[in-house]
Amino acid sequence: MKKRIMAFYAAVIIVLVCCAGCAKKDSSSQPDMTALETDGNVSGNANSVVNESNVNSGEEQKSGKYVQTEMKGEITISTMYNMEFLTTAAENFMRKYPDVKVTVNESIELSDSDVNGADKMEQYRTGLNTKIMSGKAEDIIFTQQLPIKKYMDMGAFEDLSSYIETDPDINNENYFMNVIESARDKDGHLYIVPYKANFEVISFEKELLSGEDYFKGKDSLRFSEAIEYAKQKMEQTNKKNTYLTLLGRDGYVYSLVRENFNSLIDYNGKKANIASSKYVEWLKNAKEFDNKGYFNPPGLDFYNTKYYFVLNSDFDVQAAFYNLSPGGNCQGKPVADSEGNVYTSSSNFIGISSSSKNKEIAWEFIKYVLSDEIQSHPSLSTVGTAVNRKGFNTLVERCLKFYTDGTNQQISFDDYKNLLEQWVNQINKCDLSDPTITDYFGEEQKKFFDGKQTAEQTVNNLQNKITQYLKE
Amino acid sequence: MKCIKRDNLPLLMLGVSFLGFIVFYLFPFLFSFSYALIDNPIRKEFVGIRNFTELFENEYFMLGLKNTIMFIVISIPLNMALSLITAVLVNRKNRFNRWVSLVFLIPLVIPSAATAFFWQNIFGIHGVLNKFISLFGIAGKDWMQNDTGLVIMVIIFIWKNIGYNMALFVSGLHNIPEQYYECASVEGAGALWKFRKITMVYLAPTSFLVLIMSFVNSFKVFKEIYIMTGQYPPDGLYMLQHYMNNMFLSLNYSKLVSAVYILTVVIVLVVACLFRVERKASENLRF
Amino acid sequence: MERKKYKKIIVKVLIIILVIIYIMPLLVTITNSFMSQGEVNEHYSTVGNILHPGDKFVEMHLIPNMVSFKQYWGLLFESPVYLNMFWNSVKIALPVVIGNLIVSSMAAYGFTVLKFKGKEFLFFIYIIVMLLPLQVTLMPNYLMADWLNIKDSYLAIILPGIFQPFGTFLLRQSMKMIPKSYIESAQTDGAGHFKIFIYIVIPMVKSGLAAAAMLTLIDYWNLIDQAVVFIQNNEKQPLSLFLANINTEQIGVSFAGAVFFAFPILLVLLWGQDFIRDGINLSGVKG
Repeated sequence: MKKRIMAFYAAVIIVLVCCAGCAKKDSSSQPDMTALETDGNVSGNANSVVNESNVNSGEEQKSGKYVQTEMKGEITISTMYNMEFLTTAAENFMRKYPDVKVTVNESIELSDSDVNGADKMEQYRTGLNTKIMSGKAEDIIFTQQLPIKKYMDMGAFEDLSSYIETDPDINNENYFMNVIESARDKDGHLYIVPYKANFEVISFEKELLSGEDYFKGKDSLRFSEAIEYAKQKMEQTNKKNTYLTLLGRDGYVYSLVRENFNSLIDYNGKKANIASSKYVEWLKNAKEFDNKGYFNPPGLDFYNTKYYFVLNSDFDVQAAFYNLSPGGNCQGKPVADSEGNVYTSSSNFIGISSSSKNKEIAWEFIKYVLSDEIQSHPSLSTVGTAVNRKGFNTLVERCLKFYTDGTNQQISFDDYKNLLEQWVNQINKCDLSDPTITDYFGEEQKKFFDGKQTAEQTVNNLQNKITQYLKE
Repeated sequence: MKCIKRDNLPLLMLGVSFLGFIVFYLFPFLFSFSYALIDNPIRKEFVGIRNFTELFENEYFMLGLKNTIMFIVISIPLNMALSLITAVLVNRKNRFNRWVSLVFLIPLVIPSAATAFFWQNIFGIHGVLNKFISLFGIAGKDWMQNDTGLVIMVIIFIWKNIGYNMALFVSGLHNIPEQYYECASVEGAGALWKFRKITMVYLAPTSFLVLIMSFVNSFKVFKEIYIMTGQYPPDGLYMLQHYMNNMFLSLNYSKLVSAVYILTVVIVLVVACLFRVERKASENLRF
Repeated sequence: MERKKYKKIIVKVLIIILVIIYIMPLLVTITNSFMSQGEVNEHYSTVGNILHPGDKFVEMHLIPNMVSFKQYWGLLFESPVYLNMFWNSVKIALPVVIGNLIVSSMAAYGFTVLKFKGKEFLFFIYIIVMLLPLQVTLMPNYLMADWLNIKDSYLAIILPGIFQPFGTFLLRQSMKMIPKSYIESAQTDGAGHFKIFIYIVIPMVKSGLAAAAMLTLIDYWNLIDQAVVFIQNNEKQPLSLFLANINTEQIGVSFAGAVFFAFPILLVLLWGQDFIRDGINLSGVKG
């Protein structure tokens, strides 16, 4: 009796260890794309090309290198907020390929207004992280508000370089390739692609520029230089109700932080260089400017008084409108960081999970989201531009109509489109700054501006908190 | 042969539980340990004990470990003593005690968000406590900061878990047959003698149970502290659970598991010793 | 005699003070739930208004200026979703409690009656796996649920709950207190294990069963993290998860929600208080 039981236990333990080992093997037997990359040009796609059947879906095929995979299977999509164009894309995709099932898993439904955003975000991440770590994540992941760099570093996403290389349709003729490849890291890996571009533009009040051509030779502006120039102009002007910028003291410091983010935070070296930087100066300057009245007081009466803001920040489509419209009266360029890079916001990207079992079909879906049809969809964006050129034109037309509707301003479509195109062409990077870190800056700055701590304390706190975050 | 036939049913009874236990508890236990030996839950490269050695060099892990151990050493004995005392006080089966014990269970049924909100409004910088002492002219401060934060955490832990342990102790006290006490009374024993020689002795199995569950529950107090002070609390409050939670959010399951196992090894050693003690004690009980 | 009276009074007063401290959060929650949203915001905001600029202290009021049922109205009638979630919580908690009682009592009986090598070691393992915190076990459980194909249903939460070692642990400690002679005499009388289990052991550990049921219910009523991972569909959420999400802008509704959440459980726990005090009665032992 006793012997039997011991044997039973032994058998159980052996079975368990085997299972644990098997479970590991299962997920590691998938082709490890990232391991095959040496530089960005290696085609790790060999497996999928070999596995495909010769189903021709009628898509253009140039050199024969790209063959569409058999469109049969199921893909799941993970997104925090659902978006109308995504639902439409899923339905159309399923109609086009009846053997494919697309399921969108959203965390917050469109109608949920009662929900606390921060808590829901955390729950979304808990669920997503569990799935990613157990290798059962959805096939496609939308990157709204995720700390993408962390996910990329841990290998959660699949390298998409090879898909883009071998697909003849993805080229600069049809797409803004500079935007699509903006998330390429220094090793040449491209883990996420955007479905729209969204960037910041800073503009000067034309009247206060007094005719000088500040923009000569510049395709983008650095905030630090621009604000210096704006300060000069403001001190020289004799117009009443002139303020430096609507951004206020918080926006002022924040913009400087953004510009120098890479030198402030050494992500790979896990160091924070805040104490040794000019951050303290920026804080003090902001307070000084506030005391001097450079920033507007709260509560402006736009109806009865004319205000002048020397420097202003706005998002792409809106800034373009104000640049061209006589009523807007400003002139500007996209904002760049200290190294001259123009960023697009990281919340509009899509990635394929590295543990996905249907990567080819997932890629087809992403291609569909990037196609003319979906990129022209009305709900794609009200902030930001499309990455597909035809979709770009449609969107531009729609935005122009939205801004000029009801007014009698005449702005030519070509002018508007060309201006935006010129700006979009400046984008070369994706803003991968960690939202946790930017949140810390916001918190500590608020305490400083509320007078609860000195500038030195703020710097100290940030230095410690961020070091802890990086080094944990 | 008779033996085997007799024992079949209990074996089956245990077997059902054992099967579920293997599937849902033992397997995850072993499986998660295997993750401690690899560097990244997605890439899965074997690195042996590198995770453990790296953890000991990580100053934040050591901080969390130190704080957690301090917290456990202070709050668990305190909690057990207090809950034992209250259990003895509300032991008898009468209406008053029924309601009183219910009151102690209240903290366990209020959602964490509500309790965190409540305590935040008492101990926060604009809280009721500061308002109270400002009446005496003493300046208030944010009590969640370093030196007092740990005290507050202990208070919240005890407040929440006395009810839990009390329920266990009351059950344990009622497992001691009345007849033992009656025998002792007949032989002229006083209340204190009865407490020492009967209650404390026969409470050994239950005390062991309460100890283990206190360990388990001390992990859960994290939730309230997290709601009150966020992912990166002041140094005095930074526990191992914060470290683990941050690792979880960073997709670093391997580090998370390694950290847990270090703590678990310490706890298991302690538990194993106490387990032996409890076994010896209970063997003497059943006559 | 007077001394005894004094003692009893002092004890009772102490208990009442403790009770007040404990009941405060619940009282605040209940009374605040009857305040209108505007009043709640006013009391808990820490930013001064025009009359009193600068930071002010939080005011915790017990008596609302104006009793308003609006919060409850909004909770129960404007969105029937709350009632739905309530039933979801029941659908999860009830099977777990019942299932756990059955499985654990059987397993505890097995541990008590059987004698085999490694029994204590096995029991030790049962205890150890409970020490793993949730962040660690969540991922392997997810994998297991996926493998068993239950990952999108309540079963992924219910099944691990039924096989939870806590019940086994508690009941075994309770059964340890049953004198051996009791069981042995039944065996010599020719009773099979089934009869012993149902007619002798179970009635004796009523206290332990009540404790196990109550504490398991509390645990699973307050479920959050497992629900986040295993329940995708927003309509299948349990109430605890829903309450954890309440916008801090709408504190008033969350008070009402918390009351709605806590009360049914408190009623059940009140009922259980009597059972927990049913002790082991040895009057059935003959000779």
